[in-house]
Amino acid sequence: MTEPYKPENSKTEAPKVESPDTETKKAEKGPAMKWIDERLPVSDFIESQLLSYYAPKNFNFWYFMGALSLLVLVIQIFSGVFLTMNYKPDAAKAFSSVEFIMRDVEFGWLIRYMHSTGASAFFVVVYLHIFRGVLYGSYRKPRELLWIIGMFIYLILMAEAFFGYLLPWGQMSLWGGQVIVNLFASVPVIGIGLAEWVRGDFVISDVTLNRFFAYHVILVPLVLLLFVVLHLVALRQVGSNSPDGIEIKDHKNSQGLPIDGIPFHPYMTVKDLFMVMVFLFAFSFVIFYHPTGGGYFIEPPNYEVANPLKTPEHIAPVWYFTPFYAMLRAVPSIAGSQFPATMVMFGAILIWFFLPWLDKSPVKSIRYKGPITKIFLGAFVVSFIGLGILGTQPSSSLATNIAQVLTVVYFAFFVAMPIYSRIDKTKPVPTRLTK
Amino acid sequence: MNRLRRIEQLAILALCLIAGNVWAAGSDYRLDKAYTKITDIESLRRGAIIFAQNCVSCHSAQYMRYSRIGEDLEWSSEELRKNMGITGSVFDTIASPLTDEAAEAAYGIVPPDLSLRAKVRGLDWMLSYLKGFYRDEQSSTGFNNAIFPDTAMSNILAALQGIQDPVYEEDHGEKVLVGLELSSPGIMSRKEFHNAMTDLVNYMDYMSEPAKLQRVQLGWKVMLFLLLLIFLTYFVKREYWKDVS
Repeated sequence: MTEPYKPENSKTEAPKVESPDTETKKAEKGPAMKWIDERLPVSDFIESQLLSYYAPKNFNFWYFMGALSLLVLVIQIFSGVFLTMNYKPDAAKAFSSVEFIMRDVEFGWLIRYMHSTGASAFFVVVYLHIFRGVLYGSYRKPRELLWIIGMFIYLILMAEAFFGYLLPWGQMSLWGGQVIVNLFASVPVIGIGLAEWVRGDFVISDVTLNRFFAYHVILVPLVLLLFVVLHLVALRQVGSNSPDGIEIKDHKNSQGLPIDGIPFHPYMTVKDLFMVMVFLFAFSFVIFYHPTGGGYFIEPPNYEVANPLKTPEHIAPVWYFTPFYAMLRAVPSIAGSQFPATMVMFGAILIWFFLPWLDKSPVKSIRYKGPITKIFLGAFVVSFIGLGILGTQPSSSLATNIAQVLTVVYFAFFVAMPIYSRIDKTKPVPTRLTK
Repeated sequence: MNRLRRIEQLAILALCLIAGNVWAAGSDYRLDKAYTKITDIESLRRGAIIFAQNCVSCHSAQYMRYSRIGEDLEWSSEELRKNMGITGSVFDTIASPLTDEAAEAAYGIVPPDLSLRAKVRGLDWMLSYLKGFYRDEQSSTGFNNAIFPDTAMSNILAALQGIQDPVYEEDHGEKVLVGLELSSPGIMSRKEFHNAMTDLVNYMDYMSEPAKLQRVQLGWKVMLFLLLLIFLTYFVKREYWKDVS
């Protein structure tokens, strides 16, 4: 800011490639921008967050997911706003108001499919984003808090998806909601009262629909946005990890800039922009040609209006909840109580929060970790996807047995980590980024 | 180094493969495959007429507006009225003359609204159900259904299809329905009836989501535009990244 105005010919002083030509940029600032900057630090913000924020230059496929989840968040908010304009949160009208949107609102079908497909897309990119963190040890010091905030986002997202799924008021909305609310009822002593408090009624009813609508469109999105901002602020504080698990901050040039880093803007922004287009291409394919996702994004029974007197033959939650649903069904009830199963299910999510302290490996990235870690990680991926598939199927004794084994494998990945990560062979980590 | 990176690529591939597998699903009685084409307006028109002549006497379609059918199937207001047998306003949704109370009293069950039935059951199920009636003296209607055992619906399509009799096979001492046999022919040949039912199913698919007609015709244009943007942004990225070593 203290730089004096430079005349045009000052450009002859050999411009440096490494440092973005911020001086000239500032000098070119118009009076309007100056007026704003004196009152709101817009230029400083862009400078510190985009232009001189450095990211590792060897980001690969997995590193697109953060930007894509932001994109999906924006899609969800905007499509959601337009849906709200015609949706009626009333048990007598909700189902037909959705059909009204699908048939009589101009491009209502597109907005609705964007929102319903967006929900699934959100979980696709978030699951891949989390998996990236696991692959490259992005949860390790100094990124523990970044990881924990991210895990909160995942929890909030699950709540948002759950509340939203009740709103179309179809059969699966009602009965899927019933299953989840009953989890609260399984808590000893206070369970029944707790479930009533959640529903606001003795059964899932108009009252429940109204409050879930309020949570879905106001409360949860506000909290979600807050945590997304915290996630980004924490990321800017510690900087991005790299596929090699190496800190680019450790190797700086004479100007104090990371040698293996590149400015976020324009390099990462143009790269992300390309991936945004690829994502939108795939997203459009689903919206226009497979909007129900083969019955996994919008389930067929949800085209029947909610009927508390008619239980569907087979209740399955939407695909992104099925791994946990499979665990819920796999754990036998103890003394007639479903509570242990509920605990296991929530434990499966909560255990993620402790990952930064469970991993004792001297290296961060899977690239330099040993065979035992890879076997455990592979087994974990198989168990998660296996449970996901089982959760969509009607239960049978064989399926329950497989789910029990997979649940044990799932937890073993975490519980045994302090041991196997310590004893596993590791490869030497290079000092600089690889390709 | 290359080998290590292959592990990460394998992980992506595995995810895609397994995700694809989830889509496979099974069923007991083999379903017919419904080869429908939503953009075949002629097929939709034939289906609509079959629907109006055979189904509406008992079934409603409370979310389907007549005027929308007229627009999408390119019928003039007179054609629409004649073909769909409209007595009231064209801006009404499809109602059945059979009231719920009358249905309850006569059949003990209210025939389901057909607006969204194709979404609930799927097209293959619909086609197989419509073709799956067979003679069964035990049943109150005189007919049973291979796909939906003990269905309450009477075989109103018998005049078109003819009468089918069941073919059973012994399996571990149990009688298992393996097929249906046409014992007395109807107005239509077997192939004509199959085609008529395919038209009807196509129409019901349309009715479950009229926007599908718009959707499939708009989609490829949007995707083509995005493909252009993919190329464009790819070259922008490559240009910017030239100076990254």
